[in-house]
Amino acid sequence: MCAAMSLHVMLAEDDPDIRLVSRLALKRAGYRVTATANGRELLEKVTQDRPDVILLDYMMPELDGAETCAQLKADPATKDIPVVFLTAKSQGFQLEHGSRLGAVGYITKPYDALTLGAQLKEILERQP
Amino acid sequence: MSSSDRPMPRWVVAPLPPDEEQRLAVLRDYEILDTPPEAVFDHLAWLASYICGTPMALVNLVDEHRQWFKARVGFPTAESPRSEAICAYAILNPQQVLEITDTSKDDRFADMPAIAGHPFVRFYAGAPLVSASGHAVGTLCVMDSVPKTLTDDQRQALIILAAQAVSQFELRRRLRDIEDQRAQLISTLNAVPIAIVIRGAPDGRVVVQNEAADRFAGSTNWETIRALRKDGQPLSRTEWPGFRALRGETVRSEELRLTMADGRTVPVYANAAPITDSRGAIVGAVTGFQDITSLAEVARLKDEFVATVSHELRTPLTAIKGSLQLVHSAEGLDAEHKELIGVALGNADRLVRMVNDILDAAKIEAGALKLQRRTLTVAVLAATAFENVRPIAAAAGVRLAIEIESGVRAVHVDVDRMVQALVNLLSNAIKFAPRATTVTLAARRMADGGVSMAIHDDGSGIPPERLHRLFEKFSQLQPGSSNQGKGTGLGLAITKALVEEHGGTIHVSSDPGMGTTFEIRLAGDGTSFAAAAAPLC
Repeated sequence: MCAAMSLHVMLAEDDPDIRLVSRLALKRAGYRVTATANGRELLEKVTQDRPDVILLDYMMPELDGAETCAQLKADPATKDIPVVFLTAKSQGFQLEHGSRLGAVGYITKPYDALTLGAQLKEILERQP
Repeated sequence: MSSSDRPMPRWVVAPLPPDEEQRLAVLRDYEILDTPPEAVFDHLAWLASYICGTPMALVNLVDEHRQWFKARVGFPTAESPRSEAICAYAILNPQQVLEITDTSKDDRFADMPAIAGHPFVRFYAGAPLVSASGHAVGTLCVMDSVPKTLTDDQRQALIILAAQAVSQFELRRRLRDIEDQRAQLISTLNAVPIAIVIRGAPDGRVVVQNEAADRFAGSTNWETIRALRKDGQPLSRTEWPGFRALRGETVRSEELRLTMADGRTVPVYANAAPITDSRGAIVGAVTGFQDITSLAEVARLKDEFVATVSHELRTPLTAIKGSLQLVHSAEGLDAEHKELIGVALGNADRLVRMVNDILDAAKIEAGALKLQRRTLTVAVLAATAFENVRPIAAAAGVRLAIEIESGVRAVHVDVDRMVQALVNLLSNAIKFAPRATTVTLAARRMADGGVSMAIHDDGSGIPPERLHRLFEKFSQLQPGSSNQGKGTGLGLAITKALVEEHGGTIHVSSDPGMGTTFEIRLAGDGTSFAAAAAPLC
């Protein structure tokens, strides 16, 4: 929990309970967190307060994770922000699938709330 | 009602035979009355007339109220009342030819119309037509307008010809029975919803196809259909189940896809078997194709259901587990609350494991498990599995040890799935092992070149009566420890299925007090570790 790093993570998660837990878990891990309820809301906020990393729920109404990611990657202003997916294992999510969409990694649900921040950091540190 | 109005018959009407009812039943069953003339009976009547030297001969059937002639030579009418028939007398004694040398001298017949009038029958000889069941249904009779007697040879010939006429009746009835059976078989075949195709030996041409096969093919020409294997490879003609059955093979529930002339594709189970004659020679092959579109649909719906349910369960579990973890690790919680939150957390974890296991079990049952095999050494495989269980071993105060015999071959496995199997067995062993003992994974080379991986714990062992049920779903042993130790009841069933999916086997041996050993045996893939490393030497 190094306050000095204080990475800004922007989260899109449609389930309000999981949104709360994720926000608190990441906050406790030292992140600055902006929580949004879906892809559309995230796309609106992402340029106003540019995050260091985006955590996207894969299955969402309105605008799902894959489509949101595609729009982020298509915009020169946001294409360099690393995207990590949050996904339920049953969706048969594969790492290759995520990277085809331009994501740098994925975390499966149910995640470990005590290590969520560490998992995110590990994924970011893996990047060249 | 004046009886004097009715002229008294001037002849004696024959009595009914004692078997009249059965006799008539047999006659009806022959279905010959009122049928058109047929050469075979005409010939018999002609032969009788010729041999006996009489101008008249009849193949005569005695019906309830009339006599009806199936064949006649020299006789003017096609039928006449039974009450005016000499033949009605002839059928009274089925064993014997009735011969009247001069009818005019016999009061029973003298005034009968055919005797007193045209054609003025004076001589009569009738051989009864006796059915296989012993009932006289009529006669083969010869007549002349002058008195006469038959020689013994003529009489014998008349009996033989009568027997020939009856055998014609009987043969026709048998033929009709066979045709009825055939019609019944065909309507049975047509009632079956499975496409049935019968091919004849030796060329394999289609001799019968039922209506379901017509519907399948969209035509009565089955040969327009092409068959594909499950993997999409087309089947050559000789590989069709029916052709294999012609060569003596029995094909059971083989999954194929049939492509129709119009491009439709239908998934089917194919069954085929040779058809043998009474001497055991293969004369054909019967094939059944069962449309399994609906079965495939049910399996797909089930998979979808399981996937949806497990996803729907994961979402609330993520929230529950995450909240509990954050509260549990928060400062300022009193000991009792912390313990209770710990209990809730342990159970949330267990639910997560159950959802994962149920999804795995469903995948395996649906045959949807796709192994992505690669070759690696047992040492790497074991080390990967150990990494996964090190934290729970440390928590339980159990040591871990790997023993790999030299010469153990590399294995060709799906690494994630084989590690999952080993982790399941290792977690079990750790759970049952007493504190400060060692759980061992020992790999050795089997005589057949395969690899054995045995996981041993020094726990209290499994009672013999429990051993055989161990791999069944939801068959749990009591670890007697906390919630953390409780399993889902699916672990060993999944482990067994995973190992079997790899073509391997799993065994367990245990003695109460001596600990338990689970052993996975995998076939050698032909690549020994030494051979794989050979290019480096």
